[in-house]
Amino acid sequence: MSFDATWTQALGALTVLLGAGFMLLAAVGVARLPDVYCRSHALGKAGTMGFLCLTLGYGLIASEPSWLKLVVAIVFQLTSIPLASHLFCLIAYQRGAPRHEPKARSEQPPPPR
Amino acid sequence: MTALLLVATLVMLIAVVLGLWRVIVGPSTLDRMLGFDLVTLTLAGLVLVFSALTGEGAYVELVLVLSGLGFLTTVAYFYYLTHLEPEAGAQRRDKAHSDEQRDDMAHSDAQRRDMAHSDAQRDDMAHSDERSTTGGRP
Repeated sequence: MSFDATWTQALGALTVLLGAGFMLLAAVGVARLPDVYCRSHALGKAGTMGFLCLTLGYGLIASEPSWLKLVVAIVFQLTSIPLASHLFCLIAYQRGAPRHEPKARSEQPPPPR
Repeated sequence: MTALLLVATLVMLIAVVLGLWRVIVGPSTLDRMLGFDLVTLTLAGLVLVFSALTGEGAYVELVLVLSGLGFLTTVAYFYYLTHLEPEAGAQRRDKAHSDEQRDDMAHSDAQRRDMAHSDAQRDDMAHSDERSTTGGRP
């Protein structure tokens, strides 16, 4: 029984670590990408996945987790984060936010053969 | 397990610092809002990890409140942007559309068709207005 408990807890800790890695990915995307649209894309996808992994890991670690609250938190975040990301893109487009434009094809070096 | 959770806490603290950096640096207000959203989300995750570290189950409600608060702040800010500042947004959008017209020929063709369509609609509305005004004034 105790072996099962520790095994579950180790799995939960690994899941929490995976979620933290996704959070870091979202943060790096928000900090490094050149554009409002790109940043909102990074936050909307990696942030959702990271929070999902964190909540599942907490549910695996905790001794008696209240799964109802965890499921409510997961469902709420799964709906609200992509919605907020979409709103970011919508408002940025309506206000004419500058778009990052890569170099034109002629200015780019030719691809190596 | 505790060491793994501490490593996860460190990683998420780095994520919070990156989000705060975007809040400070961000060229537009939308960028700052995005960084704040990231900070709120990561903070909710940090509360979860803290709850797992201490074994206290009551912090999950704090996670619920934090996530709801972050989403509500975002929506309130968008309401402010769209409903309380409509003129500035409309002007900037027109400017962006004219830029697109200059840049992209195919797109501008489609837009010209749209504009012609809307012109026809406007003509219809004008005619109906005339009809209504003449009907009202015999």
